[in-house]
Amino acid sequence: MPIRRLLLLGATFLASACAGGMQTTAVTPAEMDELAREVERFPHDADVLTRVGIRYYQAEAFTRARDVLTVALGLRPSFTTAVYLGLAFEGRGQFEEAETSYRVAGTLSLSTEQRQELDRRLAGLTRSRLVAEARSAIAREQELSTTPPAPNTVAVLPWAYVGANRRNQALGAGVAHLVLTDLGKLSQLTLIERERVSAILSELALVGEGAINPSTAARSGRLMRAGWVVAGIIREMGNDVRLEASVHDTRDGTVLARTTGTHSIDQLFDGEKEVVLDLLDQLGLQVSPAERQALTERSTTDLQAFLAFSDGLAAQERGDWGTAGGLFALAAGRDPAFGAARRFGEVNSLLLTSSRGSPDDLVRLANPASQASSDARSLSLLTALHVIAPSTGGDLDMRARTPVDNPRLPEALGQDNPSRIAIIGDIIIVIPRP
Amino acid sequence: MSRGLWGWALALTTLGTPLHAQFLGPGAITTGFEAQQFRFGPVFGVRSLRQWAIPIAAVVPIGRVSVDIGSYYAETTLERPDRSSLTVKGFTDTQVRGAYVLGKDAVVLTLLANLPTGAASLTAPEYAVLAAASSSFLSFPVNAYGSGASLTGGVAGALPAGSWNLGMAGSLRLSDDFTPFRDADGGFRYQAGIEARARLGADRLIGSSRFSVGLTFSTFSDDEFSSGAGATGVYRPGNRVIGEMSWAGAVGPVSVVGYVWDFLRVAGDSAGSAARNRENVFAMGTVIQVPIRRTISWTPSAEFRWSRPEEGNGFLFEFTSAFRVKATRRLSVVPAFQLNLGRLKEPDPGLGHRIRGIGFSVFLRESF
Repeated sequence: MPIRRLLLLGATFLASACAGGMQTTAVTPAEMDELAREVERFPHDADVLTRVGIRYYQAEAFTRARDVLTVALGLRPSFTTAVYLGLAFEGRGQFEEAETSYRVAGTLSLSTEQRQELDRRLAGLTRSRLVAEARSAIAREQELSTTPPAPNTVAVLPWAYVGANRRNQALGAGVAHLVLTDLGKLSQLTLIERERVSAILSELALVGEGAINPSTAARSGRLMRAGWVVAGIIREMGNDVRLEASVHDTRDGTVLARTTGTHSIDQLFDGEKEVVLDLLDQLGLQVSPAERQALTERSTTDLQAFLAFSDGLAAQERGDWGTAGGLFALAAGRDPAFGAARRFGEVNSLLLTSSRGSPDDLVRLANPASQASSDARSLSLLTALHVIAPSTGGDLDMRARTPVDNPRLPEALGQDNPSRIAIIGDIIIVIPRP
Repeated sequence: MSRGLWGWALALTTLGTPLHAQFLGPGAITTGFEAQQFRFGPVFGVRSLRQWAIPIAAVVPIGRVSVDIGSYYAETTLERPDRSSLTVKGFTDTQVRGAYVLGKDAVVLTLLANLPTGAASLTAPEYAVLAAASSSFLSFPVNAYGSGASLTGGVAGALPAGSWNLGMAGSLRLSDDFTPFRDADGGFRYQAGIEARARLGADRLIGSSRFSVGLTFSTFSDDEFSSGAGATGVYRPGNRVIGEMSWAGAVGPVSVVGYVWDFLRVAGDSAGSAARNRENVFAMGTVIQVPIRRTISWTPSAEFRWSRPEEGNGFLFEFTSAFRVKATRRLSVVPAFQLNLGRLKEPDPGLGHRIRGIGFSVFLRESF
């Protein structure tokens, strides 16, 4: 192996290792040539390709990193390779491909820490992907306006709240969640997920804008490739709330269905169900008995828990993950049967930790040295096994040189002292008399 | 009972694979050849001490149990200054070990049986040859041919603690009596007492490298022995402690391991009299693995050992050059060459003697 190559790779590794896994270090042209030669020399060696790919990634040569790591992953799936490939895709803005790489990593045998960090990265990546897709959709708005929407695809926009009670202002997010959940029970509809809706509205700067007019609703729906958009308003009037819902055709903004209902706030959940059923009737959608039965099910019957949950959703939309986590926990605490609050809380904690945006922890876990000792527990056990029960058969490949298993008789006879080898040529046994 | 010449080098090569695979992974058969010779200065009472050995070992996974079996055929020769020599040859004891893994590498239960297939009932001078080769300082591949039947049960567990991984292990060994040699009075029988061993280990990542420490403690009940003439005695072994520390990292494509360990044995006593056999061996070294081609890596290593027994002392430098060759998808071949340079100081009259050593080994490992 050429000394120059060793020095080159060694120096660049030290530069990156000493500064931390995610620090970028420039690749000199000479090193770039050397890395390319490595790939040519060992085109089928997953270890070499992974090492080179990591170096490209650290130097922000994302395309080269992607190419090399893709081959490496095909040769031998490993957590390190899959994670760095995901990072390289992220570097190129290919979030969907990055997600696929992380999901490949997730299929491998992982430690709890690795899996948690991967989940965090995936949660953060989903958000990044949705934002990127929203921006892309807005950039291609002209093109999308002439493209027919996917049939039976529905987007539910956050409902606007009109009233004086600041305590109930987040109900719009909560009721939109209930509507989305109910519509999701119908097999003939495809729902746009809430996060995607949120990303589009955020990019259109429509979050918290109050009631969305038909043309805005249609526009946002087209950007989401939805055929229909459900929008709504909650008007609080004394002890009553009035729910006003409408379904818009995204092609021209026409109203396909519209309904209203007034209930006391304690009957909010009943009112939401009536609104949904009314809209479905007006749209002429066939609802099977099983689906109708499912529609009667409620996530919670505790209004205070629902208010906390709604506040949590609103906080999430503002990007306030810390507050959202506390509110979801409060909701789940008030009503332990409120599954959505618990699930949102779990996802929120991932979003909270991923909101730092840095993949440092994931990189640390995917670091080859970390992988070399990735199952450190196994190594501890293997070493322990060698020490507590040394065996020729099992330890031939894992023998530490520590003298764990010396024979005791030479010791008892004082004959294992190397300085005395010259005088033990003839054995002298002295048996002490008790 | 055996100590490998290239243990750390081989240990290093295993680091790239999932280690739990070594418990529940594919099986393998390992054999090869090891040879080691030490020559001493001209006025030392021994001209040379040499040994060659053929290891035979296999690992067979059966469900969540990994069974391994191993033995050596070895020949050890002690040569005196007048060129006369004495050679002992034969098989060593055979060890059969079963390791059962609970959970995902959470706990390992192990049972080790030492089957007394090794040479026994030697002559006293023959046993002296083996005793000379048993030194921790010289570290021959085989340090005992026969130790009698024994059974060792152990348990090891590991758990994460923050950024550290902690490992704990303990074992108990029960031994049967055996006759290591015979003299004019008849057979010399030795009954080793119960041995209890405990180990605490910890490791963690530091940057992109891995750091580990370990501490092993052994204690014993009394050993009993008797000569053919009917005389009996008791030997009370001193406790022993092994402290070890290692660091493993990578510099570009080159893997580097640095390690240090110290073995301390407190003096035992026989019938209340100190046996004056306290021992302290300190070692530090490094192992480097350099990939040369896709299927070949070069593994040079260097180690310094310092022996400070109760009487006399010695030091030894060891330089090793090994290659790991992946001959086929399943067959790995590891040839290695070793040089030793050092010095021994006798307790009386305190003369110093040079040591020159040379060694060669080749291991073949076929996975299945």
